[in-house]
Amino acid sequence: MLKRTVVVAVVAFAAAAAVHAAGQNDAGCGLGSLVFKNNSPAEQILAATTNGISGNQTFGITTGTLGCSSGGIIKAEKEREVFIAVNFRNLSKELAAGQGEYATSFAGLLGCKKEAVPTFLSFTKLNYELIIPTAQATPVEVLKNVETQIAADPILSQACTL
Amino acid sequence: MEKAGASGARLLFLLALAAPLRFAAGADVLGDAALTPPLAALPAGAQEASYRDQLRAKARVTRLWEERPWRLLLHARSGWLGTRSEAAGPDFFLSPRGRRDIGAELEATLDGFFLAAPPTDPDAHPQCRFPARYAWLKGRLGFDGARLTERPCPRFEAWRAGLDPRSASLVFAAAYLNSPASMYGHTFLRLDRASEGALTPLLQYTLNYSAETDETNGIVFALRGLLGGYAGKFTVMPYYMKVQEYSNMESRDLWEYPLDLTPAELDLLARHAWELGQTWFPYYFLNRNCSFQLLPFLEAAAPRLQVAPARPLWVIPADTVRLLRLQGAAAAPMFRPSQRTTMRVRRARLAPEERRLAGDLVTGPMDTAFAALDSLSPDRQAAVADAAEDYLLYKWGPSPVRDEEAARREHALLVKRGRIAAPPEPVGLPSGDPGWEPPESGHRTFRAGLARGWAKGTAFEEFSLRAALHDPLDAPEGYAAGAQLEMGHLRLRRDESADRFFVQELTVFRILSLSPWDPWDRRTSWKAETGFEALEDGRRPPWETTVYRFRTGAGAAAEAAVAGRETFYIFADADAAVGGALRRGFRLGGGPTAGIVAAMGGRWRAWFEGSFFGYALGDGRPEPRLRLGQQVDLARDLTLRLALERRRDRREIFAGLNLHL
Repeated sequence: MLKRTVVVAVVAFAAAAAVHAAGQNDAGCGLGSLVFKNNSPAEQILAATTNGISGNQTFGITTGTLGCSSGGIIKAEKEREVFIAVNFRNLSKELAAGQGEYATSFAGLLGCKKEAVPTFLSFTKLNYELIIPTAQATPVEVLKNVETQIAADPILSQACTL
Repeated sequence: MEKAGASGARLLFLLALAAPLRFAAGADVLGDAALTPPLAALPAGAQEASYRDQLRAKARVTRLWEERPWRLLLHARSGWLGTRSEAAGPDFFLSPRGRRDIGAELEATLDGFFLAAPPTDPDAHPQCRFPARYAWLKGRLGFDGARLTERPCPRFEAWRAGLDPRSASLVFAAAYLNSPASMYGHTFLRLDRASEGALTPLLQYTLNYSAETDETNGIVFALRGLLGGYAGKFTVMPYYMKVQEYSNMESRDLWEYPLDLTPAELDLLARHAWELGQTWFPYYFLNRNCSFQLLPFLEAAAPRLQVAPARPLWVIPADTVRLLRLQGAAAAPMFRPSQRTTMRVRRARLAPEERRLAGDLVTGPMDTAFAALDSLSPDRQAAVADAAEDYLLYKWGPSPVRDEEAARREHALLVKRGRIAAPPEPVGLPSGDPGWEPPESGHRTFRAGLARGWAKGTAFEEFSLRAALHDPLDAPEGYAAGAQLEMGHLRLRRDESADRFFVQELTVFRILSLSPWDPWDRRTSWKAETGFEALEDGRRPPWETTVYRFRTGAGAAAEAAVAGRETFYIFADADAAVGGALRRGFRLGGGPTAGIVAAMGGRWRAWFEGSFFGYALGDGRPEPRLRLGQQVDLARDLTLRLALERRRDRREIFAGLNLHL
């Protein structure tokens, strides 16, 4: 009885840890943190922030396949994750407003047909609080929420091929 | 003995002359430059070997390596050391002498195409490493697919399919004074796939050339960059990453110039980019910088273009844009406003109390601010909320990681925005403010001038040259507002009564960044300058008062619209100088500087500045200075300048004409 409880507890703990690890914000394969290395827009005197994205290992043309990119081209299955990690703030702003280039780009990455984009934008605006429920929502969580909401909607689940 | 000694000396002299050549050209200076032996690891078939020899012979007969497309693909330039490739990374060359003998490189490339397939990585085959060379040689020599096997290149093909350029744009990121490497702006390319569906420009890919470094100190970067201490490489990344970097983090406006390239040229562009990915170029801040390298790259893709300057002393990004526009290679640009520009435009559309409310939403008491927001009409609610969000994004930066307070406010604001139906007003091209015209519309970057002046007891002529770039009296269109950036400014005078030439000023650099006070954008104004200057105290002839000076300062500025548009500023400066003209040979001190830059109408500007420096160390004599300068634009590149200046015991007045070239 005790042994079984221990086994169940260990399995449950391992599962929770795995889920937790998967849910941890990957920040888009680490590319998000590469972009925002020097995020201090106000005062930077005598900075060398040109080409602040100095990750030549990541973006070099002859760099072979890394986790999420190859020669600077983002892998198709990682595109949404990287996009939302790098553009999270601008995207949130436009999803709330119901319009904008970041929001349209996001719709495109979710596989929405061009005609379905306006529907997507009004849907995400209407359901903003379901998609971004708290101030601590991470890009990975928000992506999952969007995908869940789209899959549950009769129109968008057809128009956006996730 | 003497004769032998003299011959020995001559021999030594000749060897000494040969030494730098040897050093520069590599070990094989005395080798045979005409023929290269075929590469090792030959293909099996005798038929293939003879076809290879046929192609080599054909290339040799026509001297194919002298044709423009080959020279461009090799980035070859003719100099006093002969014709050499500018690429420095050895992987760009199949021949050990490829860098300085592009004929040998062509033959080695042909040989390479005949090699057997590599056992592990198909893309290691020369056909895959040099797809642009392969495409051009195939067309030029008419490769027979039966006798020269075309190899599969899966990694290159996958990468090229990811890029799939159907059109290209040159993107110019506006100048950013706070970073020495960015003061002149930056250019890179954006390659667009066919824009079907919801494919926005943000999702396209960019090709960027820059120095490879993790350096964060701007001064170190500038110094090493000046001396060629960095390797320059080409990288690829999505445009949205570039937009985050330039537009949102550094608040630099982006200008996107569509390039006029044919499908074949775009194909060659992608192929050549792949070739360049395996090498690097020496990065020189002045003349082999980000903007320069794009030009030979574009020429390699489209040899009909003639845009790369032959032996530039310096290359300014705005000039490369100007050149491409003049040649018709680039069309009128699209404007992509930075985060700061967007914020300012949205704020300008608000009434004063709405502006206060937007500010309160970001930095003031949240409850009252949100309640006040509810009392507005939906359209005005949208305008205020959008302006507040832009302010928040600017103030706290675009990173997803932000502090709790900012996150809390932003979430509350965006939830609220989600409930307001009215759509956001678009932010298009702002008009009326200088600094928002395309960079090539401004005055040219080099300036030469002739002036005549009078001082106590004498008159003088002045001849001036300024390599770059812009001062507050120059026409502001196309340049960053409130910025002065001068490099290589020489003022040569001839004193008439003494009939003598002297250097009035030789400035290495002079930078002044004025940031007028703005409640949503609080930045310190600052300055830094250094160079030679004739102090002209009025007691000694000017040529006896030359010192080397360094000055830096910080201060505040404010804008007004009294008679046109004025910028007031006040600085606290630290000032140091060395020179024989000073007692004890040096001085160190500082003091206040204050001034006004006024634009009166479109073509007339005035700049009044006064300073008073005292010196605690070294030559303690104080230096008061008053200056009033005015400029009238006769044409975009021809201006009239008048100046009155007063120093300790010297008053001077001068009038001159400046020509921008």
